Amino acid sequence: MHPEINPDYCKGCHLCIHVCPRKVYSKSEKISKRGAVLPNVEHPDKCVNAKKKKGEELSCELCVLSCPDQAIKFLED
Amino acid sequence: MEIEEFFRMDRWPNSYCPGCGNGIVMNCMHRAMRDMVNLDRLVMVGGIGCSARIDGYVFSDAIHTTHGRAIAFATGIKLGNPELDVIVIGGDGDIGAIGGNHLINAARRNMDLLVICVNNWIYGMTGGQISPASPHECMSTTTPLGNPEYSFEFVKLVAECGANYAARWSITHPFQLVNCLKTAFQKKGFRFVEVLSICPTGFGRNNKINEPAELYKFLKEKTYIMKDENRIAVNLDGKFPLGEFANIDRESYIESLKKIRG
Repeated sequence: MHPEINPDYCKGCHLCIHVCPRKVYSKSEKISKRGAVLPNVEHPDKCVNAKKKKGEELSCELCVLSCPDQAIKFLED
Repeated sequence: MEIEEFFRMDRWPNSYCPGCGNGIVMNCMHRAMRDMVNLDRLVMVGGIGCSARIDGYVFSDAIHTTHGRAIAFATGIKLGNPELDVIVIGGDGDIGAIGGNHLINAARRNMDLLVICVNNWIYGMTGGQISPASPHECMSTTTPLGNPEYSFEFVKLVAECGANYAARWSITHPFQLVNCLKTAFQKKGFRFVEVLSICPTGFGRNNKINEPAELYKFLKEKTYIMKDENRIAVNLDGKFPLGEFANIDRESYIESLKKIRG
């Protein structure tokens, strides 16, 4: 499983970059169509859920809980 | 229950500013209630303000009421149909300042309500004026030289008024907040959960903290997990203790009403 950011929901507050203890996210140059500077999932392999399969219980999920716009979802690789 | 079934995702992206703490409160609400909530029996009541607008995003019946009167409306709803689960959500200005009297009297009655107070230290929607919860010496649009007042600690006030459950967590402690909301949702009587939150537009801009992440860090530094607390309900040192301030099983209003009626 890896985290994915929905560019339609993200407003570019970058709280995910701040809260992630493993520095999975980083700033990027990408601008969404609403004008938000999107974060980038730079190191999905560093995430604690990287080796989890679909259906398994995820751990951590601090980025999912701390995203004010519900833009982060864990998807299957 | 997935997040798409709990929130009206056709209204997304939500109307909050980038980095607003209300979205994190919404996440924690969903995470806490997804296994036990029946949306047909749930009523969300909100007053006026950014945080009170969360009620419109939940896939349940919701009522958006006048400023500060959310607890009064919710009391009527609960008395009219005691089968319902009634949740009041609002900001510090709505619940603690303008609705302060409703808050302490609902706690005294031990009315069967869950009140979630999102305390971001400022009146956010109206343009960043100080509220009774603003810390001493903080800047706002109405106090450009710093706040001369000392702030209220709503959670201690409610605990002293005899509520069944009173707890405070912050958006920087989401897992503890989820567990706290789970506990509060299952209990009877008056349950009060205060969530310290961030408002980058109203509070951060006036206090020269421009990035949401900086404000998040600022809030985390201001809070600590409660050890032994003095009971004065005014914040004197600018530090915010987190934890459960009351967890008792007093007779709730609905139960005592049934007993009186026989």
